Amino acid sequence: MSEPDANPSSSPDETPLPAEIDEYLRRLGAGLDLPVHVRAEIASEMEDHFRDSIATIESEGLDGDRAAREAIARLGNPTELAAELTSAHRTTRRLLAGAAGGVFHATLGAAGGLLLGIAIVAAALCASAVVTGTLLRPPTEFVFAGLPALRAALAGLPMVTALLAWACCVAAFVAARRGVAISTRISRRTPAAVRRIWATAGFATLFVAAVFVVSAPQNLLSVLSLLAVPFAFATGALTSSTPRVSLPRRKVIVAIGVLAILSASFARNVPAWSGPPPDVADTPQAHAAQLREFDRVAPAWTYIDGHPLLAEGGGLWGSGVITQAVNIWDFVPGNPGTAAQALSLFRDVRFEAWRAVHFDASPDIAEWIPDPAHSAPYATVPADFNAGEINAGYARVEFDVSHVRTTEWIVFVTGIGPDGRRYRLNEPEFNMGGGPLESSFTGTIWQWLTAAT
Amino acid sequence: MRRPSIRTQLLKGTTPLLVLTVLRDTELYGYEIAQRIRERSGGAFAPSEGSLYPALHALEAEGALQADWRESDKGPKRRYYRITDKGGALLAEHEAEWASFARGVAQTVAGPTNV
Repeated sequence: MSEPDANPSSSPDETPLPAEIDEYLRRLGAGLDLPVHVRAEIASEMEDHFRDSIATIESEGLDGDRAAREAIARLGNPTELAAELTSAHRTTRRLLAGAAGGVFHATLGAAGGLLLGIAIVAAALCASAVVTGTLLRPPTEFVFAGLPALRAALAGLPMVTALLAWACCVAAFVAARRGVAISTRISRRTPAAVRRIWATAGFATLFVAAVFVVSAPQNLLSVLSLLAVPFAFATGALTSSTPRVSLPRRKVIVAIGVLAILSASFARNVPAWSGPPPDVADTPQAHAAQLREFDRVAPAWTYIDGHPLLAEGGGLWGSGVITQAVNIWDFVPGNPGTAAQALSLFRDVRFEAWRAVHFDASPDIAEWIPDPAHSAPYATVPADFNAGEINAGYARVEFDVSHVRTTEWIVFVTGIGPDGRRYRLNEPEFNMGGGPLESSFTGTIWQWLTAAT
Repeated sequence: MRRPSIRTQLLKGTTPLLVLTVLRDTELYGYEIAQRIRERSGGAFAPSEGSLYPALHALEAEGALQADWRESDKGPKRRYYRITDKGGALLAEHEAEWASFARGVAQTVAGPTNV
C-alpha cells in the first residue's frame, strides 16, 4: 500500500459540477470519519467519477440535469457510501501498522527531542551563568564568573535529575506529536481519536514509569520535573492538531547546532566543573581553626606519631542512611600496633553523625564543620570492632523533612577514655575523604513520597 | 418489501473477484473498472457503483491493490488501481472458490444425481 504521490486537488479539469453533485459530495465528505487527507482523496476520486458518469449518461441521450440525477442515483445514498468507505479504510491491519509506525517514529522523535532538550537545557545553563556572571558580579570579572554558584547548585544530584527531566519533557512532547501524526496517517483514524489514545496511553505509561520505575536522586524539584514528563507527552499528543510527518528539519538542526556550540563553549570555560575540591589544609591557620570547630564535638585524643587513632575509611551513604567504617591506622594482623592498644582503653566507642555546614574560616575553601546550631549529634551508632576496622553498621539519619534540599552530615568516632571523658578519635576532613556525607534521597518518586522522615 | 434479485446479491459478494479480474493485466481507475466489467460481461451486469468504491478501498487497505494519482490521457488526474502480488494470490483464491461454488450451484439446479 502506498500513498498517492500527487496532489489530487490539482486536477486541471475545473469544469464546475452541477449543484446536486456538489451537495452530494458535501454530504459524502461530512459522513467520512477519516483523516483530512483521506477525505480529500475520496472527494477528488468521486468528483472524477461523477464527471465520467455524467459524460457517459449524456452520451446516452439525457440532458445535464437528468444526467446528474441519474449519476447520483447510480452511486447511491451518500451517507451509506461514506459509512462503507470509512469501514473499508479502518482495517485492523492499518490500525496495527499505525500503532507500530507511530511508536517507531515516536521513538525517533524522542531521540531527536532528547538531543534538542539537552541542548536547550545546556543553553539555559549558559544563559544563567552569563546572567549571574554579568549581573550579580562586578562587570570587570570574566563573563562566566557566575559559574561557581551554578556549579554549587548542580552539585546536588537531584538537580541533575531535574535537568534531565526537563530534557525528557522536550523529548516527550516531540515524540507524542510525531507519533500522533504517523499513527493518524497510517491507521486512517481521525486525529481526534488518535490524539486521545496516544495522550491517555502515553500519559499512563510515562506516569507509572516516572513514579514507580525511574530511580534517581530526588528532591521536590526533581520530583515535580519528572512528573512533568507525562504531562508534556499528553500536551504534545493533544495539541498535534495538524499532523505533519516531518519536522522543519533545517530549523531544528540549526537550533541544535547553535545550542551545541554554546554548550561546548560553556563547558570549555569551566575547567573547575569536574576538578577536585579545594583542600582545607591550604594554610596551617585554616587547619587549626577547623580543628577547634571539631573540638566542639569532643576534644581529640592524643595523636600517636602525628596521627589520630583512626584513619582512612569508607562507606555508603544516601537515602537518609549512613554506613560508615574507619580503620585503626597502624593495625597489622598479628601485631595490633600502638593505636589499637590505645583504642582498647576506650569504652562506648560510637559513630556520631553531626549536621554539617560550610567552614567559613576562609571563603575560598570548601570544607565542612559541625553545625554550630546543634550541640549534639543527630544520630549515634555503636562501633562494631572487626579486627583493624570499626564499622558503624547502619545509621539512619533523616534527610530534609521537606525533601527539598540535601542534608550534609559529617561523621566522627568518639569514645570514653581512661579518665572518664569522651574523646574524638578521628579527623573527618583528613581521614574520611574530606567531604561531608550527603543524605540526599535516591529512589523512585513513590519511594520518595512514602519515605519515613 | 421488495426482494433483492439473485444477480444483485451475487454481484455484491463477487465484486472483489470481478475487480481483481479486470485489473489482472492492466491498471484502471474507478469508473473504468465499472465499465470494463460491464463490457466483459457483455452488458449483462455491472457492479453497483456505490459498492465498487468501498470494495476498491477495502482491497487497497488489504494490500491487494495499490493506488496512485496520475495524469490520464484524457486530461485530469485519476486514481489508478493496480493489482499487487498479494492481490494476485487473492484472485487465485477467489477464482477457485467461485469455480467450486458455481459448480455446486449448477449441479444443484440441474437436479438430483444418481448415487
